[in-house]
Amino acid sequence: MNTICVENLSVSYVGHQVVKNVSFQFSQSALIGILGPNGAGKSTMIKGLLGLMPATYTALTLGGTTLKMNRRQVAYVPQRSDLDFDFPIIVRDVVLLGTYPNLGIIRRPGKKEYALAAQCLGKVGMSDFATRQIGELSGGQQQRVFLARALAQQAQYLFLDEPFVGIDGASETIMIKILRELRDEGKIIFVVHHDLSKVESYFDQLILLNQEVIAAGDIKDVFTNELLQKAYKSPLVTIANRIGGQIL
Amino acid sequence: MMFWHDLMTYEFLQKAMITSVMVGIICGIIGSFIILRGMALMGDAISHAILPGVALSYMVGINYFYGAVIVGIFCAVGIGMISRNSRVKSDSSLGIVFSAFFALGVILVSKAGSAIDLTQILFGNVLAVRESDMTITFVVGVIVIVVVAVFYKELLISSFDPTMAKAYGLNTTIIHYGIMILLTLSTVASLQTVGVILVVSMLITPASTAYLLTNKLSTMLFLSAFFGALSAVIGLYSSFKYNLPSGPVIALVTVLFFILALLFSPKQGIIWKKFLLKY
Repeated sequence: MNTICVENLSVSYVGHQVVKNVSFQFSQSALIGILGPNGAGKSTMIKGLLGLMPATYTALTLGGTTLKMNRRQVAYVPQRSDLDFDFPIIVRDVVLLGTYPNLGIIRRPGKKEYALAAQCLGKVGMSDFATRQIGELSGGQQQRVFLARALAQQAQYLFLDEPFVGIDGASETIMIKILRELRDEGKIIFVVHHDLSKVESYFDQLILLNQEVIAAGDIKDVFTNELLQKAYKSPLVTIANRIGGQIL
Repeated sequence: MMFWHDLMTYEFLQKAMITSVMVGIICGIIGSFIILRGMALMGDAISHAILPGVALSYMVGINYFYGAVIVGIFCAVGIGMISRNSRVKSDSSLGIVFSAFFALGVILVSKAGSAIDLTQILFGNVLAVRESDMTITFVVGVIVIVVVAVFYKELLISSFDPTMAKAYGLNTTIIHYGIMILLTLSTVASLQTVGVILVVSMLITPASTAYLLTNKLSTMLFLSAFFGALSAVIGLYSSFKYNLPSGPVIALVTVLFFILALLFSPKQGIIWKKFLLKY
């Protein structure tokens, strides 16, 4: 059974506490949006949670055990801006990286892993680009490839950092369809998001963040004018007011 | 062909040839990871920083290899510590540490007296390669090739996407210092061939040439090693034929290949890009 429980997670960056006392709990499969204004610490919270940045907490469990026991069950899709797209690597090999955690150290990917990578690449509709260098693709295509990599990892917990930033509509549609399928398979998926326009249609759970958790839970309870205004610290932010997804 | 005849005849020339080819291969492989991880300056820093280690080894009377390796690793750790524990940026802390080590090295060399020839350490003298130098280079070569072959997967992912590597539990700090150790070993192995100052050309230039020519890391490693070795052969030949210092000639040959790749690479070449734009 996939569950995640976080209690009092705080993350500091060069002496400043960026994320304070974050607590939330999800005890069944869910597609969770992490929403908040710029600088709210959305990416930082995920990085702290995954041990990519120094963090403190009173409890942090996945499936009832520690993160350390679940490392291989955690797939992380970084922001595209965090990667070097001039790196000499072709699309197929990027997806193949997803099989590394389950291979353990030293062992090389074999036939089984190559077949899995090809299958995952097919799922995101990118098979025709398998031998292209990753930087030759458009933003949306790149993001689909990284989703394919997460699929190849066959993890139970997925963390995607701003996957929909600067990508085309077709890629976004394909990705959200796959994320829903993963949720229906029982996985817990976190998506850092800062576009307000499709929140209700994309996610079933929401964490509203601005350094602290403003609210977390069912979308219908959390995605309200009152809580949004509290998170964005502006009375102008309302569900009706969003234009093209961006807050004025 | 005088050179080839002499190569067959003189043992010192054979040793020089074998050693410099090995250095080309070693530096080509390690250099590829250095440039992909954005650590080109680190290669330069480490190579300068090992100077006091070399001087101390001579003073104590042990093989310069040991002193250089210890000081090189010490320097890598020092650079990491300063940039992690203060607001000083990593390139600045790199500059501080390596210039300090280099200065100390020059002083130690001058104190050591006539036992060491500073020019030889700075610019190499491949024709004076001894049996023991050749053995060291060979051992370093085997270590580098075996480590890269065994941990290829881990080196690939930690270079391309260190965050994912960390997220699934890979210890990227150990990998970083592992590469620093290999870099130090490669630098020390290159001392006799190209010297402290020009090691960086063997590390960075063939790797950059290969980088322009391929989209696969494994191919890049082979191409880089190939260009390194080929530059060593051509460089040694030219230096012998025209009576020029071998290290700088080898360094210039690596740059020649780089310029050719820069202009004519099918995918990245400037000429091709211009051509494609025009027609």
